[in-house]
Parts: sequence; C-alpha cells; structure tokens
Amino acid sequence: MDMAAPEAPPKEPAIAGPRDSAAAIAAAARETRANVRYAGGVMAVAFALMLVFNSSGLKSYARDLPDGWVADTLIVQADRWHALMQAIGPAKFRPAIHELLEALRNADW
Amino acid sequence: MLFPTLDFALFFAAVFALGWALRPYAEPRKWLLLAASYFFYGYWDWRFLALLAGSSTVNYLAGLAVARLEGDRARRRVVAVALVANLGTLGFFKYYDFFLESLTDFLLKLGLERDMPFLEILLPIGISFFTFQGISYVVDVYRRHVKPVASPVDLFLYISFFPQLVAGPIVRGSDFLPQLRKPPALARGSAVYGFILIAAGMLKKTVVAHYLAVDLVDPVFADPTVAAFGDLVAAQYAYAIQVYCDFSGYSDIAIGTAALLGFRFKKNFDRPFSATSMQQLWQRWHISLSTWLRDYLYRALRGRRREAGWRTYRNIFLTMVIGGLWHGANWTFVIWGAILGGALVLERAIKGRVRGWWARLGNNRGETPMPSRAGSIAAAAAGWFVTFHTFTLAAIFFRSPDLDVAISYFAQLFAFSGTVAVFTPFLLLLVAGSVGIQFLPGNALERSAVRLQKLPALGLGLIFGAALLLIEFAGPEGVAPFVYFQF
Repeated sequence: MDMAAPEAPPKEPAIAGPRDSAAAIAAAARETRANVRYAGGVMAVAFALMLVFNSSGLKSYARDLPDGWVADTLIVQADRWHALMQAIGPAKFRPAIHELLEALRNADW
Repeated sequence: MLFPTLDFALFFAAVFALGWALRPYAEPRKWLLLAASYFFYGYWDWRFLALLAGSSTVNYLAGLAVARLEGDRARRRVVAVALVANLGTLGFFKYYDFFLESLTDFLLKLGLERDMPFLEILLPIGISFFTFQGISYVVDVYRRHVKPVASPVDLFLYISFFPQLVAGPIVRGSDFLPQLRKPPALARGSAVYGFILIAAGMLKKTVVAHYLAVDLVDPVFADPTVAAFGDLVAAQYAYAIQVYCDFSGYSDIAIGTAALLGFRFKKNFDRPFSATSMQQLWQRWHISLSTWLRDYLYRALRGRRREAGWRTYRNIFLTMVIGGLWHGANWTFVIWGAILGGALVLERAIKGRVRGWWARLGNNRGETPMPSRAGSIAAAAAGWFVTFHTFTLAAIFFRSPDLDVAISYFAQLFAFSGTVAVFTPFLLLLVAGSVGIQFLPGNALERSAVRLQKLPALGLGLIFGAALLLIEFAGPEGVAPFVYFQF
C-alpha cells in the first residue's frame, strides 16, 4: 500500500464536446458502429461454436429451467440437437477433452 | 446470475445489442443499463433491490447536500451522517448475529442466560462493494475531487452497474461518472481486450481456481492434522493462488464486459505474485480495495496533518487489521490483517534504516554508491521470496474456518512429517504456471489485443469460441460461487 500517494484530485478525462467538429463526431460514431458490429460478430460466432460443440451443455441447461412449456419445448429440442451433434461428430469433443484432463489430473509422480 | 453461465451470456447479449442500438440517445441508454443492472441484482434475490435503491438514494442526496452547503462543519456533518447510514447498514448485515452470539457467550460465562433476537440475517450479495462505492462518492464530493451528479439516474447507475456490482472492482466516481457524460464509444482494441479478459477470467476461475480448491486446498484444510508436509506446503501456495484466480478472474470478466459496453475500468490485479516487497504487493493485489482503504480509511486515521514515525506505523497497521476484519467477524481474519500490517510496518521501518545507512555511506565516500547488478537481482529475489511466503503463510489464517484449524495447520507443517499424498504433477503445473505467468510483462494482454484486432470477426470469434469451449470442457459441471461473494 503506497501510503505516500499524492492527494491532488484526479483529472477528469477529456470529454468530446461541442468544440469537436461535426465531422469528427460523425466519424467517431461510424467507427463505433463498425466496432459494435465487429464485436457482435465475434459473439455470434462464439455462440454458434458453443451451440455446435457444447450440445450436452444445452441439454443440461434446459433441464435446469423451471417447469413449464418453455422448459418442455427446450428439453425436446435440446435432446434432438444433441443427438444430431453426436451423430455427426462435434459432441464427441467434450468427453474426449474431459478424459484427457482426467488423465492429467490422475497422473502421479 | 453468475458470469460463466448461459443465463448471463444471453442477458449480456441482449444488453449489448439494445445498449448500442440506443447509442444516439444518452438518457434512454442510461435507463436501459440501470434497468439491466437492477434485473441482474434482482436475479440473485429481488428482496434486496430496495436495499440497493435505498443505499443509492442516501448517497445521491448526501452528495447534493455536501456540494450545496457552505461551511465545512456542516459539510462534514452530512458526510458523517452518510457514513453512519452506509456503515451501519453494512455492519448490521455482516455483524449483527456475530455480535449477538458473542454477547450470548459472554453472558453465559457470567451465569446469565438470555434469549437473544437472532435474525438469521442473509448477507445481501455485493453489499460491501456498493457500500464502499457510495462512501467514496460522498467523500470525494466533500474533498471536491468529483462534482456531485444532478441526475439520480447517473448516481444510481454508478452504484449498481452490473459488471462490477457484486464483487468489484470498486470504481471511483471520478473514473465512471465522466464516462456517462461522453458519447458512448467502442474502440476495436477495447472490444478485443474485453474478449481476452473474459476468456482469461473464465480460465482462472473455472479451471485453475476450481481444481486447486477441489483437489488440494479443501482436502488438506478439511483435516490438516493428518496431512503430509509436502501437501501442507503446496496447499499454502495453492490457496493464495486459488483466491487470486477466483477473484482476479471475476474482475477480468467484469472489466471485459464493461469494456464491451464502452466503459473503461482500471486493472484490479497486476501480477501480485511477482511483487518484491509488501508495499508493491498491495499496489498489485485487489488494487481498487487497497487504494480505497488508503484513501478513505488510512487518511481518516491520519487526519489532516501528515505524520511520521510510530503514528504512521500505527495507522498502517490499523488499516490492515480493519481491512482483515471487514472480511468477516472471525479472529482468523483479524490475525491475517495483523500479520500483513505488521509485515508492511516492519518493511517500512527496515527500508528507512537501510536508506539512511546507504546515504551515510555515500556521504563518507563523497558519491552515491550504486548497487551492483548481481546485488540488485539478489535483493529482488530475496524480496520476492519473503513477500510471497509472508502472504501465503498469512493466507492460512484467511482460509481456516477458525483458529484451531489454523494452529493445527502450522503445528503439522512444522512437524515436517511425510512427503506428498494429494499433491500431483497436474497441481504442480497449475501452481507453477500461475506464479510463472506473473513474471510476464504487465501489458502482455493489451499487446495481444493489438495483434488480434487485425483479425476479422470470424477469425476472432473462432479463437474466442474455441477458448470458451476448451474452458467449458476442462471445467466442472456447474459453477461454484466466487469466493468474494461471501464478503
């Protein structure tokens, strides 16, 4: 703990205000929109990967939902999806990686 | 809802999409983020939403009152009232039952038996963190470090913003509030850095912290009296690393999700296990709390006049003891704080003497002597060794449920009995890897973000998704609560 830290009030970061030109503000807005689309795209791809390779996780999630038609529907669809992913292969990665980790955990000196 | 769950992922995706869609409309965007934060908190337990709103209201009104009053005495009175309200609420929830238990034990020893009004109080999640934020806001307004906010939405959002609401980082008003006045922006590098932090945080929490706890720390601490020497030493290191990974993992995810919403938070952990002194350790461990303790507790103990000598040492020691007590009403936390406070004081005293001796040596020689490179490396290595072991040995008290377990741990440790029974090569990999990685440059993740931001969204999405998948597959079923939720 640096007890001798200076006590001057911290400076507030510069704020883009009316002095910035309209062109600069518009450019900043365009850049943000592009970056938001970029980040959204990254998340969408990650979600898709999780859906394909972690179908057993979706099954567990559906079963943990409170009872109702939403849970019932999701359970049926999640089971079908998992069966499909097992048939075509992606669902086999999870147990394979888990087995590898268990082997590492159980290795002794 | 816990961070590494599908519920949170869906919630965040919705907030991200709606939040950025509202980018041109500042007020509606703030209302959306506020509503999302209250939904997030209510998801844990809706009964405590009133507490969150009440705390925010007190601090909002106190900030306005402090700013509008002229005389210093009146302003200090308002700060005192706000402090009593904040700390009184925190104290009630954290210490009421403990106080009654202690009183009951005391009365029993005097031969007096009384029915006490125990309430079995539930500790509202995050209460310490949002209370500390509220206190820092009011005090900063008093010190004129931050302007009071006129809009209650701004203050309510500052207190309740969901990425940092339940376990920090403790964000200062001077850092957060100006960001609400700027048009929201998202830089490519910030977004990529956010994704890296989320993945790093998930790895630390769901893999490293989990296996260290389940395979080593919990079994050893369950009964230290039968543990082998090697397991006790390993568990000593492993527990400190477990807490670091659990807590810094949460902070990483919090900072990463905030970054994706266009908010910049400071680092909360900065490679603490590479620190070569206790002072440096506290500049790197739970930075938002240690600076909070420095700015709002230590400075209050010190008063307006800067002091030196034993008073400084006293104030440092008290700050650390109170910091320990904040974790819980248990002697183990007090002793933990006392050990670390004592180490800080001792280090400061020794450094002062060494500096004086070194200066006298220079005066005698007529020049400032410079230590050799080998000498500097040796000193740094020795400093690291002492710092790391002081911290990890003190952590034995932090982990122990009571003093008996802590004492039996040390007794068995210094019996030097046996070698290893539960410590495995896998756990050595986790321990050594977690410490070794702390010696990488501090900006390693930021530099990775600079490189990765050149990738298209598909490429980064594949890397991010693959990382999350590997972490999910390597981790356990379900998610354990974060360690600092209990504080």
